[in-house]
Amino acid sequence: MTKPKLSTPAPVIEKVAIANRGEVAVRIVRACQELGLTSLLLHSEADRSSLAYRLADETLCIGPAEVGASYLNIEATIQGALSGGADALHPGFGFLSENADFAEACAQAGLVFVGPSPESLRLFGDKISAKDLVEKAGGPVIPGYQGQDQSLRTLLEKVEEIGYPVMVKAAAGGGGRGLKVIHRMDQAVEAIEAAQREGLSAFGSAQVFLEKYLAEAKHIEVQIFADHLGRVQHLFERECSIQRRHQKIIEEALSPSLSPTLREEITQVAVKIAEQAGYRGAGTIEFLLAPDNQFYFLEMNTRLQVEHPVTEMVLGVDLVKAQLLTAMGRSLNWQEAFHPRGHSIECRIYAEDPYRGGMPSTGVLGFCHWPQGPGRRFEVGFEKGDEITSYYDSMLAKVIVWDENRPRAIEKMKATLRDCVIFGLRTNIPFLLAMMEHPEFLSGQMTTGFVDKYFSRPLKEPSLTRSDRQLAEAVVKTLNREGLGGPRPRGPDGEAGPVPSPWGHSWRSGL
Amino acid sequence: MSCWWEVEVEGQRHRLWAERMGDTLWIHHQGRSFTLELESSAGSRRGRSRGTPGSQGDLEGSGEIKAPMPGKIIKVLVELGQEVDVQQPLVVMEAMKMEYTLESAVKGKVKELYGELGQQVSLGQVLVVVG
Repeated sequence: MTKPKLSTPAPVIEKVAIANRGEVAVRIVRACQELGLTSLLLHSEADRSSLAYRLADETLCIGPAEVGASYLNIEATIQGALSGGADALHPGFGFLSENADFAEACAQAGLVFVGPSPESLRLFGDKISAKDLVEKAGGPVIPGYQGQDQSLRTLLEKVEEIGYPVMVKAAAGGGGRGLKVIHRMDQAVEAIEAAQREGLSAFGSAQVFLEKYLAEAKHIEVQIFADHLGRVQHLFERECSIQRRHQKIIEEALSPSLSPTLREEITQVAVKIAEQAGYRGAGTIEFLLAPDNQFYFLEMNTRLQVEHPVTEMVLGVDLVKAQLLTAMGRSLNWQEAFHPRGHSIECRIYAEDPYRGGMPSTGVLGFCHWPQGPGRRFEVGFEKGDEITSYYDSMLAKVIVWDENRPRAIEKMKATLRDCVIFGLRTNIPFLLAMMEHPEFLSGQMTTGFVDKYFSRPLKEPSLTRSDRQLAEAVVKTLNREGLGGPRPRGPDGEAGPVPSPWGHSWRSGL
Repeated sequence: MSCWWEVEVEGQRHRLWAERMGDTLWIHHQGRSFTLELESSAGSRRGRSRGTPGSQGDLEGSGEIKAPMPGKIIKVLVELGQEVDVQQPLVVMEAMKMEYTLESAVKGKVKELYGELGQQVSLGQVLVVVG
């Protein structure tokens, strides 16, 4: 193995390549710019139509839209970073962010990988060796099967042994990918094969493991950060129990469910795990909290989390800048211990149809309005005119609020979501609003089964009222009166209005 | 450019956001977004009565299985001529990094099969016909 060109403890970083897209690419571009670093966005052909492309100091196309040819292509990504003259690379989350081979290839190419060492990525990236480490560190793990024998027969035997419901996961997976729940024997084969298939296509490994599925548990995760000297500090916890198909939808900090004693216990276990691994940088240790207050290690995410903003809001830190500073070997100058203030909630805005069970919604974004205000934060990746394709995941933006306490934060989130305008695509906002009205969410007692239990059916689409139609007609009438021509809305029976004049693209804004 | 509007309906003033995109009028009013299909200048009859563009209202009870979204076919679970039951999985699609299984809405025989493994399909494309 060749030695990294930059092996000094404090590498000089002037230009950071960003190997990601969407809102997180925007987040990193801005952090770089605020630290006086030049940002170089490595993007696919499809992502010229995105906010990160417009904001980055420099951009470089590394391949076509398909992720395998661009965002998951190690060679193209490293070539892009080098030819663009970057000294470091921030992988964001998803894609190559937890890929040890990629981190190693960066080091070999002389690029500082903004993240933990390849060894840490390898250790935690394989969920089996991660569980081993946690067990060695005295941390609690969930009963399951993590053996090397991956034959279907053995896996089926183990499913029976563990007892239903059983979760099958791609060993290299994360973020809900390649993860299925088996409730009955006749679902086992299909679920195992699907997990293997998704693992293979998304992470290049078909290896799976099995785990007892804790239906009534809460998802609690501890943010840790190890600075350039390896000193591990915890940044309290987040609760992300509101998930669908194991993908988080609503996250908050802190959790409404931890007593001070339990909080102390779980954060200390997290610190111990990170110390045991000799970890560096930002990491998140995920736990499941059972109704008896027993918690179990789930996995460690060796990267920035999607939901990192809620931690930033209650602690007053900037985790992305902390990552960059640590990569540069600089001190963070953080306080010895953090004191959380107030409450923060994040909602992920997905491009999907809430009235059709979350079916992806693709197309060109129309007018968008994000209702700014104190304690409201919008992490947005796309603007009017940008095309949202089926090549990438459906997260359009994140809405984050902060307020003095949880009830107020919930009210602020509801008010904020109601005023978000996103035209051109369906979004899950009606679904988010419905969930935030639910007594179990309001009381803070929700578990990871929340969505399945209360929202397994698509929301019922409210039919258009007479008043809705009158509003639409009034808009169209105004357009006509202004001489802009324009179509007429269909009547309630679907009859067409008079044939309108050809319609231009000019608008009368307001009256 | 703003899409801010004030309109009067029956003597009452309403403030709202509105934008026309293609044949669809998007409106956001009092915390809720909705759409309305418009008659295009060509007089096309395309559009949804309930105001949901791309809705697959005709899916129920139909033997025609259309792609409910653009995406890739990653598994074809049936063969031509095969007998299938209601809710039997026919095709698995992937879009936005998630898998979706398309099931048969009717009992019958697979009469037509258009979806191929690895194929990129567009919204509304017919993949299987069961009859």
